[in-house]
Amino acid sequence: METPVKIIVDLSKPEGERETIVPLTEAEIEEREQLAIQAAQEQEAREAEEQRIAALRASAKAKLIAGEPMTAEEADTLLG
Amino acid sequence: MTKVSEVTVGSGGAASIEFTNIPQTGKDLLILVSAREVDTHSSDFGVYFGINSNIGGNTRALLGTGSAASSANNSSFLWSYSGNPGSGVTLNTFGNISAYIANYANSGTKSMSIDAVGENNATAAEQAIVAAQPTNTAAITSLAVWTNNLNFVQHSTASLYIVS
Repeated sequence: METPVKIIVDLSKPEGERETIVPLTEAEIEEREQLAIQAAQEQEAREAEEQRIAALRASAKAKLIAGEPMTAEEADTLLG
Repeated sequence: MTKVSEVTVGSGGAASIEFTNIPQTGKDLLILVSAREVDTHSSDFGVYFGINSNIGGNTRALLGTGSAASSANNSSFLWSYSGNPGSGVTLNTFGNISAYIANYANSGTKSMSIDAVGENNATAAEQAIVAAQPTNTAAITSLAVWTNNLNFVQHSTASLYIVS
């Protein structure tokens, strides 16, 4: 696999001379991989919570229509 | 508002785009990003923002998909949550991100607002509104955007504007 690169734009230079392409260092690659893992875990947790709330809301709605008692957490999803 | 620079990623892709030696002549900064990333495990992610080579910061986000909404927060790094589709999204579809940073040329705490849309030519697409506060409080002389998973694809762009 080729080493990823970064594009550096030095705005102190004249147009046409600003861009350079530099390979990432091993430390930079490692840092970004760790960030990717952390962000992926955060997104997975968020999506799981969204699904849990959606299921609670559906259950609360069904119980409301059927006239059945709902849990406090289910009631909270209906009240915002 | 003056466009300072625009960068288009070439055929080999690039992991990040970094604007350095930003002129200290304006009041606010605006960066617009049109991006898609090489990503084998997700449909849509965000981009990270490096302020003076430091991505630390706090973010508070409101996210929506059209069928569900949620809020999220992160106290580790500055990122857009959305706007950077990966391989799970319709081929050649790019996301859009704008980030506005107030009072960039002065030292002190700065506010940053981010709008991001993970475009997708299909039923699912996510958008995010983010309030952020960078950890770095020095005057901003460099601003970078990073992908989540190492490379922006060819034709991704980043444009930097200075607001006077």
